[in-house]
Amino acid sequence: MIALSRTDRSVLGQWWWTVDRWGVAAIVLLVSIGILLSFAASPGVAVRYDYPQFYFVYRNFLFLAPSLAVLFAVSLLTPRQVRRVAALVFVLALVLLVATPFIGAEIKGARRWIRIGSFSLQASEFIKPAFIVMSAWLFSEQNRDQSVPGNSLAILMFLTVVGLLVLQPDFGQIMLLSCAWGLMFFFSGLSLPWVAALGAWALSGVAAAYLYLPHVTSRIDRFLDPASGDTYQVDRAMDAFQAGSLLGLGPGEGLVKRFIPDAHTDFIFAVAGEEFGLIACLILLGIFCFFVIRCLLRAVAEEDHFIQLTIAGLVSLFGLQAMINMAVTLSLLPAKGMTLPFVSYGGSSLMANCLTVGMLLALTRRRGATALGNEFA
Amino acid sequence: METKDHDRYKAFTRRTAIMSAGGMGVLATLFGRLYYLQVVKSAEYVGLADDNRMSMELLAPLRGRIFDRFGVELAANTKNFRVVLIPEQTESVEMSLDDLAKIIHISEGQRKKVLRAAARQRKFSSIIVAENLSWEDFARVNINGPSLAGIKPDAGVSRYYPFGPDLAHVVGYVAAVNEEEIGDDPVLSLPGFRIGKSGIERQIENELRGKAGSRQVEVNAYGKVKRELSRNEGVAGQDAVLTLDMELQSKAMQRLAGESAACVVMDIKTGDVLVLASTPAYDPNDFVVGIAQEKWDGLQKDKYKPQLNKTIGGEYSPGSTFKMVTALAALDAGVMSPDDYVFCSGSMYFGNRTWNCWKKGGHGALSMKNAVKHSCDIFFYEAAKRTGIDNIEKMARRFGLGSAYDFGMPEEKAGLVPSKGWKIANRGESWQQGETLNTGIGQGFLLTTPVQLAAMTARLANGGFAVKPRIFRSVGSDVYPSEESARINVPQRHLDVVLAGMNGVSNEPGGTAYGSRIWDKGMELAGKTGTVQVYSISKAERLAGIRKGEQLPWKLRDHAWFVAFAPVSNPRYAISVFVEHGISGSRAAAPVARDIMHEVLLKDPARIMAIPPVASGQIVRPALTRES
Repeated sequence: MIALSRTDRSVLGQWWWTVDRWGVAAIVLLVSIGILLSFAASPGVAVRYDYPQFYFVYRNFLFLAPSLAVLFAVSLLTPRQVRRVAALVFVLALVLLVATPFIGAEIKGARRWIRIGSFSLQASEFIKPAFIVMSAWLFSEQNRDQSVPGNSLAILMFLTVVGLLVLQPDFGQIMLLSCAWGLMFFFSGLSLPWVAALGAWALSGVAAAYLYLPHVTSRIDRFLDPASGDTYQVDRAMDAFQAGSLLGLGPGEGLVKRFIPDAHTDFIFAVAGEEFGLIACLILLGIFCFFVIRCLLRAVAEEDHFIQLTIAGLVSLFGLQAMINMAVTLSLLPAKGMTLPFVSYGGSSLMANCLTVGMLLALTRRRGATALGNEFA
Repeated sequence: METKDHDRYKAFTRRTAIMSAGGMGVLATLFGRLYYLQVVKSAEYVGLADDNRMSMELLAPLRGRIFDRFGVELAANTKNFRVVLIPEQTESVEMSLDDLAKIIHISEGQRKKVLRAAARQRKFSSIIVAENLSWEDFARVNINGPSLAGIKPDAGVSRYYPFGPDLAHVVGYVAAVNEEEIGDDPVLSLPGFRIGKSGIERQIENELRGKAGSRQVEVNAYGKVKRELSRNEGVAGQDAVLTLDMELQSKAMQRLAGESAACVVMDIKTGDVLVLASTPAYDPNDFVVGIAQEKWDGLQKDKYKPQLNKTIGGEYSPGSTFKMVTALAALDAGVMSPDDYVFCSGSMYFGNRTWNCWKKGGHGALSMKNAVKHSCDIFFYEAAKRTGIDNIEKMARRFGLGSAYDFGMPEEKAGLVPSKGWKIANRGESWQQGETLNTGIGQGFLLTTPVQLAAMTARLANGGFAVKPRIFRSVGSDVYPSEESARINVPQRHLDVVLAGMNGVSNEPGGTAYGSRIWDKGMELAGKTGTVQVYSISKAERLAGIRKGEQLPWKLRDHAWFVAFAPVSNPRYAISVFVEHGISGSRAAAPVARDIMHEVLLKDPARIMAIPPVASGQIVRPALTRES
C-alpha cells in the first residue's frame, strides 16, 4: 500500500512509522464494515421515512470525510496536545450540554440533540472522551503530587456531567460514562475498599434511577418482563439473529431492517447478524476485541501514569460502548440509545468516536522516552 | 518515588489482567448468546420468525356469478362505492363525521354505528361509514377527500341482483355472516363478508364462495400495516349457469303480480326448469346491504308471505289436478277400465254421509276421459273407493309426489302423500274409508308443491318417464347433463286416457278450462283445473246470502290450480299455476297458465341453443341462434 521510507521525516511518514498500524487497520476495517452495512440496512429505513433510498448512505459518507480527518489530525498530537484538545472539547461540550435542555429538539421523549441546519449534534457524545481525558489528568496529577486534590475534583466533575445527562435524560450514556470512569479508577490502583464503595454507590445510583425516572423504569421492566410492554425492536432483533443462522441470508436479503426503525443505528448489529450470519458477527466482535486488547497492551507497557490512565479510560469507553450495544441487540441488557462505534449511522457518534480513537492512536504512538520525560518531569 | 512508581506500575498490570479476565467473561457471554441464537435456536426458528413480524391478511375471494340458460347475469358483482373512516387519522371522529355529513347524507343511525365501532375497534382499522353510494356522492367525497381528515373513499365489490324481486326466491341472497355461521373458514370473519342465506346462493355457497386469497403485510408493533410484501389473489368462486329463462321468468312474474301465486314451467324431456315464479316477492338487494327494520317487519306481517318461495316451499292440497293420478291408479289396479262408466247424480252416499259432486245436478254417465274433462267428483270418489288408498299412494309416489327433489334450493318441501301407516304414526288413528275418497279428489291430507305438480304433469305428457326438475346446467367446470329418466311403468294406453281427458278440459266445449285455451294452431295446451276447498260455507252463511267465494274473506277462499302441457300434438313443456285463495281453478289459474304457456311456446326456449356450459372463466353471452 503506502510506500513510505523509514527515513521519511514528513508528517505522514513519521506518523506511519510511529502509529499502531494494527490498530489503524482494525479501525479501517470497522469503517469499511460500517459502510457495507449502511448500504444493507439504511435503504429500507430511508424509504420508510420517505427519504431517497440512499439518503443515509450519502449522509454517512458526508460525515465520514471530516470525521476521519479529525481522527488523523488528533492522532498526530502529542500527549500534551491531546490533553489541551480534550480540555477545549470538554468546555465546549459542557456548554452545549447545559444548553441542550433549552434549545434541543425533542426526539422520542428526550432532548439530546441540538439542531444545526440539517444536522443534529449530540453534545453528550463529545463530552465522554473529553471527560475521560480530564479525569485521567486529575487522577495522575494527584498521584504525582498528593497536595493536588485531583481525585476530589474528578468526582465533582463526574457528578456535574452525570447531573447534566440526567436532565436530558440519557441513562445509557450515564451508565457508559460511569462504568468507563469506574474502570479508570480501578486501573489507577484505587484500594479495594474504595472500589467496593464506588460499586455500591453505582448500584444505588441505578436503583434511584429505576425508582425515580419513569423512562428508566419502563425500559428495565420491559427487559425483565417482556410481557409488560412493547419489546418490538428487541423481539424483531432476536428474530433477525435466528433467521441469520451461521452464514446469514445474504447481503440485502434481510427483513429486520424493514421492521426496526433504528435498524441503521442502534440495531445495526442485528442487520449484520441476519444478512451475514454468526461468522460475520464474531469477526466484528473480534475486531473490537483486538483493538481494545492492543490498546491495553500498549498501556501496560507505558510508563507515564496519565497516558496509562487515559488509554485505559478511553479504551474502556470504546469497548464498553460496543459491548453494551451488542448486548442490547442480543437482548442481554435493557434497551439504551447507544451506537456501535464506526458501524452505526450517526454523525455525532462517528465524530466523537473518531476523536476517541484519534486520541488513543496519538497516545499509543511510539515516541522517544525523552519526549515524555520532558513533559511530565 | 521509585518503588511507589514501581508498585503503581505493578498494580496497573495486575488490574489490567483482572479486567481482561472480566472482559473475557463479557466476550464469552456475547459469543455464547450469538451461538445460542444463531445456531441453537435458528433451526427451530425458521418457520416462526416470518409469522412474528409479518402478518397474514385474508382477501375476500370474488364470488361466483349466476347466469340463466342464455348467459344473462342473474347474480353479479358490482363496484360498491363506500366511504370508510380511520379514527387514527382524524382529530376527532365526530368532527370528521360532521364534515362528511355536509357532503353526503349520513343518518343518525349510521352516525351512532360508526361512533360505537370507533370506541370498540383499534384506532387504525377502518370503519365503513356508508355503502352503495351513487357515483355522484362518491365523486363528491373524492373531490373533498383532502379536506376530510381520516375519511377515505373506497371502491369494494358487492353482490347485486339485476332482476331484483323477479328472481328473489330462486337465486336467494347473500347477507352478513351470523355468529353461529362463523365456522372453519377464516374468510367468514372478514368484516363485510357475505354468504348465501337463501335459494341457490345458499345451496351452492361452497362453490360460489371460492378460496380466500391472502397478503403478507409488514406490521408494526401495534399490528398496523406498513406495507404489503406479497399477495395471493386466491381463487374466485365458480360461476353457475341455470336452466332458467330470465325473459320468461320476468313475464311470469308480471302475469302473477297482485296475487299470492306460483308458477313453474319445465321441459318435460330434460326436466329443465324454465320458470320458477312466486309472488309477491321482495328485493334481495335489500338484504345484501342489510334490510331496514320497517321493511323486514312489512315482509313478516304480509299475509301473502312474500318471503316464501311457493313454487317449492308452499305445500297445498292439489285438488282436482290429482284426479289423473287417481284415474291411473284405478286403471293400474285393474278396478276400472277406460271404457267403464260411472253415473253421477250429483251426490252419493257412503259411510254415513252424503258426498256431493261440485255440479249440483250431476254429470250423468261419464267415461274416465270425460270424468277428467268435467272434473266429476262422484266418478273419482267411486274410483278411489274401488282402488284403495294403498294403490293411490303408490301411484302418487310414481309421479314424484310426497318427496322433495332436492334440485337446488334449501327451502324445498316434500309435501305429503298419506297412507294408512302414515296416519297411525302421525295421528295415532286408523285410516278411514272416507279419507280414501277425499284423497281421490286431491283433498284431505294430500299436500303438494307447484314444482311437484309441474313434474307430475311432465311425467304424464312425456310418456311416463320419471323426469326430475333440474335448475343447474353447470357449476364451475362441473356440467350437469340432463339424466336419462327411468320409466314409471305406466302403460301409454293408460296415459292416453287421462291425456285425452286433459285435452278435453282445454280444447273441447264443456271442458272446465275451455275458456282458457290457446287459439294458435299447433300450440294448443291440455290441462286440468283444480279448486281446493279451504272452508265450507255454512248453512247460516248461505241463509245470510253468502254463496260465492268472493263474498268470503281472502283467507277463507278456495285455492286455484291449473296444470297443463303443450303443445298437445308434440308435448314439450309442462306448467303448473297456483293461485292462493284464487277461488276457482278455471277462472283464476287457467287463464294465467294459458298466457304464460303461450309466451313459452312463442319463444320455444328448449329449441334455442343455450350457452355452452363453460369449463371455467368468463362466461360470454353468445348471440341467440335457433336450431333449424
